[in-house]
Amino acid sequence: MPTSSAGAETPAHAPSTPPGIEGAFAELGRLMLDQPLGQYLQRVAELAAGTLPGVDGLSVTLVEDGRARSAAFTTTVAAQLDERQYEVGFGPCLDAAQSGDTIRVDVAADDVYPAFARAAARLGVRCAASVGMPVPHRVVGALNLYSASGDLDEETLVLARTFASYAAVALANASLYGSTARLADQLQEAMRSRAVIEQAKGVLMAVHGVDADEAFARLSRASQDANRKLRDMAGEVVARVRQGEVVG
Amino acid sequence: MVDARRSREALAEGLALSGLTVEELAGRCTALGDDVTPALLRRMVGTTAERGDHEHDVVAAALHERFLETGEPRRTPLSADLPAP
Repeated sequence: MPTSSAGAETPAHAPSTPPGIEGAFAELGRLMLDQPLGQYLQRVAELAAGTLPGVDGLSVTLVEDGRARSAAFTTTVAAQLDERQYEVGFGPCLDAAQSGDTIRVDVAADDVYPAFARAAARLGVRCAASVGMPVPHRVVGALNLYSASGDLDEETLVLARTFASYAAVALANASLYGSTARLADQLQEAMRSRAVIEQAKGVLMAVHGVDADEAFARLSRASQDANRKLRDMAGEVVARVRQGEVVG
Repeated sequence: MVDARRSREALAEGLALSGLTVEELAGRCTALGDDVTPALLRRMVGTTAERGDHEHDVVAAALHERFLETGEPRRTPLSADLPAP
């Protein structure tokens, strides 16, 4: 596998010799969380790639606001296979990031991600695994392992989850979260508008004999056709009923 | 059932155009009466997981409201406007 020294950023710590599992975990414990997130994740990726048996390439996927990117990677093959998944919006690293699960792909036998498996095989990868990092915020991620040499066994995946947990801590500490005050304001406004929408749906359900989802679909269609906000259309429906008009 | 791939593409494009975060868009969905959680929304825009017509339409309606505020002329299609699977 071709190896790239070009991660997202220059590693903050860059000893070239793989330190072994104990040494890797010791260094992880010393990594400073106040450094740029990309640097931290790049070092986690390098330590994991240098430690986990059978792993030839490794990357870290972050998904923020629905957009995925590789925040760190150790080989160009890893970056390429990540990028391919981002382009099509589907693949083990995205599913692992979203679910927090560990997904293992035996390239020769996989039937869940056939397009990914074909692309991996073309690049000499025989086995891949993505370990989700369940971070309860708007940024989620996965640690992705690619192996040209063979299997990624359960013991390797257990170790990978430990590396992923360090990366998750970094994510949790990063200043990437939305303003809670802004969200609180949104919620207050939400409570006001949803009341009138519920009333309008009730009117449409009664008048047209449709269910709640169909009532909402009719409001959505009317909103788009009139190029007006759905909540305003709903308010109009309610107002017309109050005035004794027949709602069409 | 709406085509998941086309739905994902439409919603992901809409989210990108909106300039909203997933949390903000989820909050707008809540304002329309349905509790589309950020986790569900991430799945809808980031994966081709199955979703119902109604789920798609709630997000599309929330994006439409945002576009009316920002002056964005494009519209996120409703489920009925997407080609069938």
